[in-house]
Amino acid sequence: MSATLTCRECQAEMASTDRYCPSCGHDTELDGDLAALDLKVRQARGWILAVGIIYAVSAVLMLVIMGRDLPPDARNLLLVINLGLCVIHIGLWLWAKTQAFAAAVVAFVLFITVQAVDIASDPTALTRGIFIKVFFIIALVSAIRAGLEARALVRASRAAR
Amino acid sequence: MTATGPEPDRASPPPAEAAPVAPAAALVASLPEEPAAPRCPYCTAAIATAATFCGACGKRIIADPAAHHDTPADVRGPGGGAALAWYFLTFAAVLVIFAAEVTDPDTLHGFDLYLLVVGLAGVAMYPRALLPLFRAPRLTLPGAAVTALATAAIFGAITALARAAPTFFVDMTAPYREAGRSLAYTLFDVGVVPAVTEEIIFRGVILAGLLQVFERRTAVVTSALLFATVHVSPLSMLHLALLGLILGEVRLRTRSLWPSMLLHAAYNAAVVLSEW
Repeated sequence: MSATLTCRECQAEMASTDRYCPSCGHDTELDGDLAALDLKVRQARGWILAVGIIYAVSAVLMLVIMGRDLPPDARNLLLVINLGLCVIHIGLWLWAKTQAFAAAVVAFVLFITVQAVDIASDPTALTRGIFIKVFFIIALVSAIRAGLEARALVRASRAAR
Repeated sequence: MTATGPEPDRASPPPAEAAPVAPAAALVASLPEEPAAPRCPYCTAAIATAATFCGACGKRIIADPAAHHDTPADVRGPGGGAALAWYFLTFAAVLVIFAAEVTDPDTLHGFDLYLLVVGLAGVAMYPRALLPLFRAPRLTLPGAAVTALATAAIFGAITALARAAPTFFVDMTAPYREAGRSLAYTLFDVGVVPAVTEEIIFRGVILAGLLQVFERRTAVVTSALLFATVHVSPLSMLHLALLGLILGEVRLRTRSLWPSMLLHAAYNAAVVLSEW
């Protein structure tokens, strides 16, 4: 009887002579590449989470700085929108575990959409918080690049089959 | 040589051409054939009965139901760039409506027409990939029932939420009521027209483009998130994303835009009726 191994991806039992897991198709010869893939996915997720946290922090900061000058409805709306965006980014961060590229693209499109609406309703918003906006763009572009690299690694592993 | 058995009856006809069969071999031959050990159809290596992938060549043995791209490889369809382009073409209209605070129903007709042109331009640019989406749908009764129930559940949840926190929701039909428009007019303008234009754009051009970039499930989720994002309301993102997921699944399963248009229009109509 041949010795058995455990698949690193799905923990299914596989024969020691098998290169591919019979359960999930994982290529054991690419186990080394998985470390690189994990790193890229972690990078993409980190950037997305950072953007989400900044939305939440900026909501709190705006409330502290301008809270007293705003009417209650506007204050609540500001808080709900920013916390809503934070929750959406946490959702994208979770999704990025399996689909880093798609989640990063959606986060970027969401950022552009929100900024465009903000600027359309108040053109002075273009320069307001410019450094944070530049950071957001850098973070999200980095997330897209990391997501693309992660996808390339996954595709390379599939092509090897 | 000594005969050990009785003399053969020479009068009886000789046995059939075949050589005499030993009793044990005849018994084995009479047993049902044991199924051959399963083998990989690609490399013929022996595989376990329950294997999904071949351990030797790594090819998938059981067909992947998720790997479904409904545009044939030789047909030039929209890609990821086209999906993003059509998203921003749609968003441009939303942005202008938002920036100019357009609420007048007559002015909104111009934007409806713009979105229709944007959607039909996509169909005109990729006719071989998108025109088949206007064919008769493949429907099943259980599928239709589950879809209707899921959509009704989303509508019920969002209506309850809007009643609990009306400040955060826009009354879409208020401009129509203030302008003295009839319920039938509003149902057509708010219910049917956006359903047609948004389905051509999101479940037509954008979803077809995303299917070229992502796997089926990821493409449906991404198109649903883009559909929710374009409505520029963080509070509505959750229910619009859920609605987008259902509409995307309906479009892929039925291979037609008509059922998703109908479902979308029914959802919009329910919103209009609840606000009226």
